[in-house]
Amino acid sequence: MIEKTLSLKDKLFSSFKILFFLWALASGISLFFGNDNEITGGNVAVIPIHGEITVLEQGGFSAGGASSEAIVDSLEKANNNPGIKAILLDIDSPGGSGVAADEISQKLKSINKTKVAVIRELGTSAAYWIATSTDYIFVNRLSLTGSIGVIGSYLDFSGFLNRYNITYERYVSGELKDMGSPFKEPSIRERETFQALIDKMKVFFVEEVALNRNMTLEKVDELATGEVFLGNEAVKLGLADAIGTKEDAIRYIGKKINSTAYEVDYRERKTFMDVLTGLSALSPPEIGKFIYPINNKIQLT
Amino acid sequence: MVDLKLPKKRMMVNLAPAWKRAMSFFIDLFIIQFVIILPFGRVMTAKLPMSDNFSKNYEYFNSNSDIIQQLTIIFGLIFSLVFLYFVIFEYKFKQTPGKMFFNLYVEPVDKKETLTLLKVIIRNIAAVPIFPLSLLWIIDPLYMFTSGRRLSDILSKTEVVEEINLYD
Repeated sequence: MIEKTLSLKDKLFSSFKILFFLWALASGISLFFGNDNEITGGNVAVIPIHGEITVLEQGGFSAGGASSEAIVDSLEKANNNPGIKAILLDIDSPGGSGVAADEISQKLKSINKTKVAVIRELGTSAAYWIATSTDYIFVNRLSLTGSIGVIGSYLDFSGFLNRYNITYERYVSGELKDMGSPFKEPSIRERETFQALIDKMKVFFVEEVALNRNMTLEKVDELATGEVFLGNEAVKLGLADAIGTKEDAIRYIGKKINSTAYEVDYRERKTFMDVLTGLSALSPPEIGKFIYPINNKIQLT
Repeated sequence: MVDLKLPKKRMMVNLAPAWKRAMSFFIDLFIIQFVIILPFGRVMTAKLPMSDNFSKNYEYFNSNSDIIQQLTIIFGLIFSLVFLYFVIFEYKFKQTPGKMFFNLYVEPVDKKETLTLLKVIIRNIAAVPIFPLSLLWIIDPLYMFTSGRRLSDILSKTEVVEEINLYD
């Protein structure tokens, strides 16, 4: 007969203790091999910039778009990972917030690694601003890019309110305090102030593009009519570097880093809790937008 | 005291059948999956390339020798922990959780001897990921088919037995 020194209860309890010890040991050791910030399944961090660019994360289940908050975070992770030799921005965006574009652009400039942008269908306005902060821009010959300019608009409901005999009671500490209120017709001064804001923003945009693309201010200003250009036109105008696909961009990076380039997705992954908490988040009103009006986009069907 | 004449409990100890050993091994693997491999899952996912293409992955490993080194260390550690799992359980209880399920025990062939740590280490040496010990992964199952015992059992002079309860 087999000698038994432990009861079943003791044996089970001891077994759980051993299993817990082994699990803790395995978990502890695994921590020495880096954390989520050190993804090394490739040497090229692909960061998608898809949809409207915002500063804060857009919440909700159907939320799309790219936030500078998340993109800067991904750029930081890619920069801190020694296994990542290059960054590839996969752009398909009409643009968005100027502040978000500037935040991403400044972060890109601070990174001393090969940076390449590939513009897919759209890479206009703020998205184009971001693309210019990389070392090389690939476009499809049919991509829409450019749209260097600023847009700002709002609906004026004052006529509608008048029609239904609803009055806007105005109490302000200064003449321009309620500038942009949709319940009153804007004054001439308000219109001028608004336009001046837009013009100042445009100057920043033009200066950035000229600096990033190594072009003269005059040349960029000439192109900064808000016009969108097809990819092949953009290359001719010096707004992009080459016609190519994402695969071409990967090959280009391989040559630059002198190694076979392998992409790794650096997309910010949303947890279920992020989605739930995002439902209650509200975006602040935007005065000037660096966006190409997507509803008017030309589609080839 | 009244004699109830209840049937006396008797034990029979047999060499464990191969199918029970195989099943208990699969149960152990299932537990190992959760306790040892799962904590490394996040690291492994991060280190391995995402492509489904074999040649692309091969090229990736060829051009990233540091990843190969890291993965070798990770696999080495996983196997070492698996080795530890079998050694601790078999030395402490003479059986692993899988064997507990089928009432199987590890016993020295010579019943006068005791199950020493050395014997347990030798019978589980196949889990140590060092060549030529890893050859036992192939040799052990082949021995099992032909002689009903693993080569590691023979080398460690141990056997796996099952305890069957019999009643009069």
